[in-house]
Amino acid sequence: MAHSIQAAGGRHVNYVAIWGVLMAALGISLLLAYLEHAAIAAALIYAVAVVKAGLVAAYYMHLKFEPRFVIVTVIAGLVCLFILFAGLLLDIVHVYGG
Amino acid sequence: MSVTATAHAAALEPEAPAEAATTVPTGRLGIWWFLASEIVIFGGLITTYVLFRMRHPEWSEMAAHTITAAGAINTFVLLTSSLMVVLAHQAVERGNLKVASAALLQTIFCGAIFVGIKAFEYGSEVGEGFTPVSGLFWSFYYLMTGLHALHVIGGIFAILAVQQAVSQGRTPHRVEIVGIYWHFVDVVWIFLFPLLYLSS
Repeated sequence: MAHSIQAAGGRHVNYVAIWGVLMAALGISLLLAYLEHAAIAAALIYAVAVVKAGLVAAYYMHLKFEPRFVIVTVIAGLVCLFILFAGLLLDIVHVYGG
Repeated sequence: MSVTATAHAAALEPEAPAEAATTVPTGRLGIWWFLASEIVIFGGLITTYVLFRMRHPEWSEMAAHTITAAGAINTFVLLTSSLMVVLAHQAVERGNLKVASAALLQTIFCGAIFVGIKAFEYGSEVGEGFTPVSGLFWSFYYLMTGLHALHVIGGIFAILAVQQAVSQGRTPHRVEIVGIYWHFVDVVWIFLFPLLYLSS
């Protein structure tokens, strides 16, 4: 396999195959935009986006192979984001009502 | 060890440890901490946009005015640039700095195409009368895509600096660090594309 490597951390990743999956996911997103039911289309499009982001983070950014300390660093950022989101949600519900 | 040898060894000692107590190289740990803060910046903008969008269904009509084809091409370009930069890192791990340097140049080229297409989009949208003050949707659109484009431009210069060093055989470990940053910029765009272009 031309682009498969075994790095110091024992990784076996075919980066070109992952790029192919990302391109397929992009095509699926564009097709989903033509679905008649807007809510279902949006939910599926965002689900595909989460899968794409997960693939990039796990394999291209090597998060799948990083030690726990790096994972905790990323989770710390996500926890801060959740706190911000919760605060904003409360504020919007307060201003606009439930 | 003689005094001279000890002094010589001390002079060669780096000022900062190359590896933190966590066994993660300090450079890699630093970029992850930086990205944790970036998660809050971009994530805060995106979640605010989503919360407002849920309150303003009429924004879907405005989102219909964004150029979906340009957004899709830019997604293709950015995902391809991510492949290039990870192949550059792979080349470094294999000790082939010439290939790494070439892959970094291809990444820069993709980044420049992305910025060019984004500039075309801005020109077209402003020409149609959709400016940052045309409404809250367009304020979010220009703020989020503009901040992202600034990160792309910053990344281009960072990769160029690393490419110059790598082409001279210096600091190859920095390829992974700029690569992680570039992938993060890619991840942000992966979310911006459906939010601003596909949900009309």
